[in-house]
Amino acid sequence: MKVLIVEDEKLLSKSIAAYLHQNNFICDTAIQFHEAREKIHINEYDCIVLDIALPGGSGLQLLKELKISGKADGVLIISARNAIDDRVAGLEAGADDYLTKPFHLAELSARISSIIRRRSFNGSNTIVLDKLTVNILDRNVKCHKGNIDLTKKEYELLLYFISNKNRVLTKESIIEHLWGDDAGIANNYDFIYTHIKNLRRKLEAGGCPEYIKAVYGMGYKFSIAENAGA
Amino acid sequence: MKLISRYNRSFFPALVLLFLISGLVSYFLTRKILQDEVDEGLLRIYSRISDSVRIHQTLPTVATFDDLKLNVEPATKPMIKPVLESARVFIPEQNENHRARQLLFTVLIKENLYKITVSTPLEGTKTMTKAIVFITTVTIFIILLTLAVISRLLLNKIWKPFYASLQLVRNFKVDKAGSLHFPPTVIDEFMAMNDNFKMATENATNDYRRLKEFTENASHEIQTPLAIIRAKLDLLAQQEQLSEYQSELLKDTFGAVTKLSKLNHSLLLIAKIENRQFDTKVTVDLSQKLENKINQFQELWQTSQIQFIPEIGHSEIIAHPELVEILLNNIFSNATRHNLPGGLIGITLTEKELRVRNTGQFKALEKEKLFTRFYKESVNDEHNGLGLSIIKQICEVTGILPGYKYNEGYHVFIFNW
Repeated sequence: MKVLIVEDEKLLSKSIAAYLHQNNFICDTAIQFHEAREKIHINEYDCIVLDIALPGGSGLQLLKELKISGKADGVLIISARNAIDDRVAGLEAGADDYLTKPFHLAELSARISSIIRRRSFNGSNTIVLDKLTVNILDRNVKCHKGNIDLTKKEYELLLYFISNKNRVLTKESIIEHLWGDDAGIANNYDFIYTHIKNLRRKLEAGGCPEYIKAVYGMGYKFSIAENAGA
Repeated sequence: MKLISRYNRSFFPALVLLFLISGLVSYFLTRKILQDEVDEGLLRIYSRISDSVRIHQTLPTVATFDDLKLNVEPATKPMIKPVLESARVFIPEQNENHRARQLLFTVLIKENLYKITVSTPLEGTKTMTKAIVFITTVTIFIILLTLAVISRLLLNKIWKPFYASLQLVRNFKVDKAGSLHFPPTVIDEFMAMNDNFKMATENATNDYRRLKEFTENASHEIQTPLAIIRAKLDLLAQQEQLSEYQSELLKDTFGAVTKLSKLNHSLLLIAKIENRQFDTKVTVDLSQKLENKINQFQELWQTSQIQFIPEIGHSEIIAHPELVEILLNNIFSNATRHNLPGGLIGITLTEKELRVRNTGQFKALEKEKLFTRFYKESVNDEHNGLGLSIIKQICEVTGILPGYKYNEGYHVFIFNW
């Protein structure tokens, strides 16, 4: 999976690239408008992470050019401006999603995965991961013991974990993912604790090994044991 | 007190006093003048009588058709000069005493000394004085009335631009763009006042705008470094060999950064609401929005074992949809966050009212401080204390009246529009 990160803040760009690289994405970065434009025209990307405010031009301009040239790249806008106008303008110009700074890298990764999944036309509506099969279309989760019945939040949580497998997901990022930025239920970990407990229990009942592990002090990690299934 | 009343209050008593004094003065002056006339007449009579007595050597005869009264009696001592004096004489026809002027003098007829008293009643002068007093009073009254009316009309007209300016300044809102247009006036004082008003309001507007811009820019600028910090922390958290101590440090840093992000996010939101960046209003189906929001929160309530009682009628509101979303989010979050395990949330929506009640700590919140910024129930509250402030701001720009009461263990938030 190839991702272009168009972000003028080098430090941020570097971190995004590092994180996405760990999640098995191939990352390209562009700091400036013209650099980004060039790369977009030459290469094909599965997803472009696009900052709106760029030195030398607007990210929206790039987005428009991309759409005119008929490229199929997915676009995720990241912006410090949470103004609705920006968001509406971005989505109307053909962006697939919009993320406001500051964001969690895990969230960014999950959104990129989701965009790529949605845009992939080779019929892969299912994610197969070790013993777990997730059908994105009908939100069906299966393990070898049969269907696993998950609530909406539990399903979202599982997908978030899968998009960031082998990564530590902080509680903060999980809360934001499940309830959004405005939820105002920040730092109340009891809420996610119950969800995780239930998800673990259900996965286990479905015949899955213990995928979700607590990482001391930090949060949780979805990992598949190396020798699993062997 | 209005300026015109204050002016009248000083001006009119002075005027009345002035008229009273001038009335009294004219009364006494007229009386004096009239009396002098009478005295002159008496003296003329004296000279005529003296002449007649000297020539004819007989006492004068009394003419009965005149008001003049003549009294002759023998005298013992001659008077050197005639004496004028005021007296009261009896008028038999009217059967009453009247004020009169009389002249006393002595004449010598054939070796006999006579004292002659000539008196004229002042009846005529009295009537005239009365008339003068009456005329004066009426004139004063008419003048006062005219002055009052004129000053009222005139002052109202003159002060009109003043009140118009005042009204403009009263309605002045520092967050409204555009300078004030004061009514034109030819009066120097008002012109100076308007100029100063204009300058002060424009300064205030500019300062306010600069401050707002600063807040918003600062918030924006903070976003990027915050994003970097978060990203770096995210990467750091992925490190495999973190010690327990390092994890602890990282966890606390994460918590603080998250708090800072939320705080910044909230402040930015408030700044935007205050900047009227959410002014496009449409009709929002509140019932629908509420149902959606309930769906979002339902699972959270189930896991927290919070019982939920909805009573949702049909309601629409003219507002910015995003703000309604944030408003409901904040209301629901508050009701959830401050709830007790196994508690209850009740939501009642009627046409013009939304009522949210929830169980929570068993004491009322401080009503006065509730909607102020950074209000917290306890020091340990992990929240930034801006939630209710945001609710208030949204209510303000949307025309919703927020209220709170504590009722038998329930914290009730009431929203009317």
